[in-house]
Amino acid sequence: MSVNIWLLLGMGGAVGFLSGLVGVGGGFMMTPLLIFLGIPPAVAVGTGSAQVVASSVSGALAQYQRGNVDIKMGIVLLVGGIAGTLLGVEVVRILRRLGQFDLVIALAYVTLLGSVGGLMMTESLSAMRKVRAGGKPLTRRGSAHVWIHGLPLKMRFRQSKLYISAIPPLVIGAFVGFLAAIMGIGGGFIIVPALIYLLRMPTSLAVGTSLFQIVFVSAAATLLQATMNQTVDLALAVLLIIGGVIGAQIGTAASNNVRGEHLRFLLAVLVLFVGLRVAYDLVLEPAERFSITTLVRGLE
Amino acid sequence: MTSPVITTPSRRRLVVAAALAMIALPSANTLKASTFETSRATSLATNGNIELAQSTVSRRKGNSTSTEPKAPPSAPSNDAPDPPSQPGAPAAPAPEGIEIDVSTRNIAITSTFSGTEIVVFGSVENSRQQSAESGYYDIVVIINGATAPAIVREKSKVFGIWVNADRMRFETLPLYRALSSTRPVDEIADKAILASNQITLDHYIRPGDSNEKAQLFSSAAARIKQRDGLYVARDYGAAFIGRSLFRATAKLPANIPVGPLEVRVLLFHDGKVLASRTASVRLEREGLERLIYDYAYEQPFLYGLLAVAMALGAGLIASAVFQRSQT
Repeated sequence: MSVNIWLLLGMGGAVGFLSGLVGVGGGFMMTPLLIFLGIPPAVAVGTGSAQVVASSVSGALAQYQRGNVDIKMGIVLLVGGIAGTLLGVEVVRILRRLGQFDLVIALAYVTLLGSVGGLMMTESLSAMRKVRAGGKPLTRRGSAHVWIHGLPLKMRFRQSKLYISAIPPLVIGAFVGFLAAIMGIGGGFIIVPALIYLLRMPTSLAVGTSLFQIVFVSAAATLLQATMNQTVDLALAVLLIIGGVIGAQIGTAASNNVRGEHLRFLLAVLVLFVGLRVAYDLVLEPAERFSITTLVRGLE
Repeated sequence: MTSPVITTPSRRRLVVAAALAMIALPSANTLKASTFETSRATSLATNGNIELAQSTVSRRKGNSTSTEPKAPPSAPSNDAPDPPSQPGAPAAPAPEGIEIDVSTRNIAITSTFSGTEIVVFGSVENSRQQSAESGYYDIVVIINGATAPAIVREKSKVFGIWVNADRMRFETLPLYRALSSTRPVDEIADKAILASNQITLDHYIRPGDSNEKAQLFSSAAARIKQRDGLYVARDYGAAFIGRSLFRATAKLPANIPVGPLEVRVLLFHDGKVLASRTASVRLEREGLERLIYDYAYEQPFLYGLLAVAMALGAGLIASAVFQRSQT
């Protein structure tokens, strides 16, 4: 596989810029863009995990230093996360053997980008309307989930001031770990709302704890993809990471000059566009209906 | 054919290149052509980064089609028999033979490898053609990469989306194939001869498989390989540059699968194969590319650890640098 170096650096930079600007991980943009470039989807996913490690580690460290990581909660999430990752990497292996991985990843991305883009768009539109009306942007509170308190295996999470069953965080962790493995994403946009609305964790702790879990789960996913599927491309990862970290710094600096809801709106448009493009490729009759998979490692 | 055989497993200097062209011209009556071809071969050698010095050059004479006769260990003979090349001397003309070599025998695939071109050159012994332009002979050069088992899949529309549905496994799919000839191969010989010598880009994957599905899938495989630049045909990629000296070029794309290449050259006249020869080119990963490959496939756990460490390091360094520049 050979792709232009500057294109990859530029793409890493653009995704990094967006993530710095808006404050999202960007893994969910990186993988589909790599696939559009012609990188095999499995390699795009495996290498995407390495990129997520690089883009989340500094944030995780900063949150930890500020005391915003509930270590106990993080470890419970991580236990579930590692289990989910193991399962996900195995599922990738099986799907690749069946020749259906490309289809599954495309469907997963259509669903993910469609829902994330849709949610971001409605949220940013209503925030813009609120601002225009002179009011303050609304912050929603989730309703209490009583059934969660009925589950067994209760644990005390002192930092979060919670006394809840370990099962919901384990399940959340496993679900996100599974997605991390098959989609090459960090999954912060799933864990953070789940921790806040489902478990009623304080927002600052939810953000810090999710970053803590993302670093370790993505590192585990990278390691497992490299070991079990040989789908981590180190050279590709280096280029994306170099572009990404520089782009993220520029994006963070630029974010002070732009209004948040406008940014989120633009990002929503972009996310929906990428999602539509993935969907279009599924529906459109392919120019070539046949494909070849070489069964010797390293020769594809 | 019991013609003299010279096997030279020696490690000589570039002189060999010149010697090659000299031996190629056993007839002394074409001195002008001889000097021209010698210099040509030497310039090929220098331009094309030739590595004759470190390779085993084997030169054999004789007629053979697709199978290579094992060279008997004969005494180093003197020159080839002089052909009665005077016009109007019909008494049993010596049959043609060819000698070939490639411009580069070892190609390093590094991380910046962006494709290259190899030159296959050689000469016709006992050439009967009057000039390079006469078109008396045709040359076909076919280069085969390694083969590997592969699955070819076909998409069908299921519930409105395109899904891999049918599949077929091929045990020995050539991963790379290049064809260079003095003119389009179907003008050189008829289909049966081309097929028996495996000179086509599309139906050699399973020769003799008349099954309709196999035909469909093997021609699809060839089509995809052509699209990806891995099966290349150059209709006029080979040319004579003298009465007997010829050269052909073949493009090795950046995405060429790493493995040995077998170069086969066939000499045609009047739709028939007069002689054939093979040579080989080694492709090997080198430098960083080789290091990465070895780690990825032989030490995948260490490779994964390296990837994680690199990602952690890059993330931390970037934020440290940025924080310092902020304060």
